[in-house]
Amino acid sequence: MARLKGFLIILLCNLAGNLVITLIGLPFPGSVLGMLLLLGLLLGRAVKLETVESTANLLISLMMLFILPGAVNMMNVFDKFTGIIVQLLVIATAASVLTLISSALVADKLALLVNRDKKTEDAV
Amino acid sequence: MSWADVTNNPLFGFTLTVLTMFLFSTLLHRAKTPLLNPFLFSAAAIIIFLLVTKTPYAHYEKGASILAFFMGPTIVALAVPLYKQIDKLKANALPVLAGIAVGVLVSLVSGIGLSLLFGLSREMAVSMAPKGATSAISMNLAQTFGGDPALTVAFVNLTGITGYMLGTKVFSLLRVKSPVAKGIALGTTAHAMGTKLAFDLGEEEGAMSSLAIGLAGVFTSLLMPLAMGLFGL
Repeated sequence: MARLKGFLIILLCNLAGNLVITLIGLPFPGSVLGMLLLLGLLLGRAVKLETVESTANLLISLMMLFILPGAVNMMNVFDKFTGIIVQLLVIATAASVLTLISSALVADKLALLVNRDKKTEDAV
Repeated sequence: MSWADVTNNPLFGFTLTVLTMFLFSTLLHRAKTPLLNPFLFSAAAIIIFLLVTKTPYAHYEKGASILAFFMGPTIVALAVPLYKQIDKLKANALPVLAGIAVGVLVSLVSGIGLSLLFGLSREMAVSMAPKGATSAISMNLAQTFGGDPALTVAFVNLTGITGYMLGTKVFSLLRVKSPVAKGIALGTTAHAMGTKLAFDLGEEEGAMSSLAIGLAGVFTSLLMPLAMGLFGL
């Protein structure tokens, strides 16, 4: 029963997110809005963690399976890649590495700084 | 009864996806490097299988689209790990926001810049640019700025795979230790695939990456016009 109720709450959040996006006509995924809505409900104690936890964990554990069809869909644009496939692989790899490096370094250095300040405050 | 009768049923694409994922997960279970990831092998195996058996993509899609549907509720479900890590998030608000904003800008500029450097068309460069945002957002951005949404989905997937394969390597080379930084970088670079890897590393990494999927989408929408302007597109 708990799993069923949890699944219902997750679906309703997704639906509410989609509804808001449709109404205001923003190019943004309803599911991400639904995630923020569920987070708000959990923080506001309107939904208990135990109610959604097991369903959420199940869905997250199967995530790879849900993304896989999107990757198979790449076969439909292969003809547009003829002759530039190597370039595209190099670009995607290089851009990913650059993004990983910049994002990780900025977050890492600032996290160090923020936590050091906090420790100093605690000491004082 | 012909092969087409077998494939022209949702059960075919659905089962083929689950079966392939299961086979490669079992097979590569012991592999210690993300280079040998079941996802990439499964995607390649399914594509080859469909081509060899001359199965129309439309048949495969009947079942596969049912699985793909669950990505929506799964993104909503990411609120749960995020909620559990909310104190960590509050304590690290600045590194989280700055890490995502800088990552998104680098993703956009490197995507467009490298595409132009390699002599690709404007359409390709524009389709490549928003690849760091999850597909619902990036497809829309590509359309708005004159790219091809179908190409963008391919680049989003390619980026997800490269981010997944290279994430841990980059972190160890840079000696990044903070779970917050790892999660943020993975979610910003490689959305859902990155988040999958982040959860493999730990719950804190996973929660940060979940948040980064949403925020990277927002930042990409806001910064894309700026990045296009930088290159005079």
